Amino acid sequence: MNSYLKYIFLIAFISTFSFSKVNAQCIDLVKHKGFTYLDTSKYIPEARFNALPLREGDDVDIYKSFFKGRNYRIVVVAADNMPKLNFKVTNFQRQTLYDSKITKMESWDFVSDKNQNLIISVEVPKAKKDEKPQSGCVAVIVGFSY
Amino acid sequence: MSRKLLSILILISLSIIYMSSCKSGEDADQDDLVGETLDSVDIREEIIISMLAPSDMAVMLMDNPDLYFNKDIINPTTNSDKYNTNVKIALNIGIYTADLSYASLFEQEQITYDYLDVVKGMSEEIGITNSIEKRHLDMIKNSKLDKNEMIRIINESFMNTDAYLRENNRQKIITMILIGGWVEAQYIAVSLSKNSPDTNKQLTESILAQKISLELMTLALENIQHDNTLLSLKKDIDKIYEAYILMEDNLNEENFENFCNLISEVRKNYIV
Repeated sequence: MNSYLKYIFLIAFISTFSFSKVNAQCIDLVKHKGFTYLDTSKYIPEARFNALPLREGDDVDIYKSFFKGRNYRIVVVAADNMPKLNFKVTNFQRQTLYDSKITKMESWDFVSDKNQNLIISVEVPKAKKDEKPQSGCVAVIVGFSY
Repeated sequence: MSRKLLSILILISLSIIYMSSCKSGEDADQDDLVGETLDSVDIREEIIISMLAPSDMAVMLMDNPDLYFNKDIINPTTNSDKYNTNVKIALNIGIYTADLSYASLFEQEQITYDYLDVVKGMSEEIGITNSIEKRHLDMIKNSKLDKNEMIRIINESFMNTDAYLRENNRQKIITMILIGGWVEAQYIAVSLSKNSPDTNKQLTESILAQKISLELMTLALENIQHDNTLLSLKKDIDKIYEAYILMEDNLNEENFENFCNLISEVRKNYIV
């Protein structure tokens, strides 16, 4: 019985470790890949954590306030196993202000011309037919400069 | 021992691990919140409403060349000892984060350090560990940092807290922190305005601009019918929103002063 107990504790340890590792992946994505694309020498990252695990075919909308006269950079990144993401920035009437499908860029720099709430819509393209959908962290990082 | 029994034991141990990992957040949310759980249906998985963090609120409001630092406005760290419920701790983590962000904008290293240290202690009390890294505290204490460098550190620390709470399904705590931070940043701003819209025009514009962040907060609080704590905070937010509408219709001394008084009254309830 003693050896079985050891076996169970080993499983518990490995599982707990794996759980923490999955949790750490999203924050690591933000701080490494996200901050690199943001260029933290130019932009101060805002404090909110806008990252979550998604699968191919999923999408997420992020509602966020932007203030008049501020310079912003919006960066959208995903874990390395994920396909290139598409993202759009729209107002609440769903008028498109930016579409990465047109620019093919992971980030958008802009100056907000008014105080406004905008929606950042991120779409993970669907997996190819007969392929198992990949899953991984997706993060939106917003930075501002003075 | 048979293979079947071994499989059962493994299954039981994995279930225990799964349940304990899910429960840690809920347990930490309890004490005065018994019977006030936030149902999973209340959380919109496909939509993230990214309300402003207290540090970002402070930057948007107080990054103004004509403002100054006034220690008498902020919530004294000595008050931290009396916060002994999760609601008070969460609200005041937000309040102290707004205070230290205000201090950092005026390069008040010692105050920023002291308040960050208090936030670290309070965060640990409600089970948020490693959100404020020791190296960051040391950097603030031992290096001559400018306001941008301090804000970067504060934002990274807040992001750690936010990530920890999100990943442990403790959205209720983060919502309370954000509400506390929002109210405190506005309180600092209205105190500096001396209850008049004419004291500093840029500051008044910044205060008015925060109506949009309040709108997002209202949206985030839409589905909380079952949570009495958040419902009570939502009532505060709704009252503040009504005061905004009055100011938007007519920005006169009276409406502005009423708004300032309301912010002060709400804040007073949070810090006692």
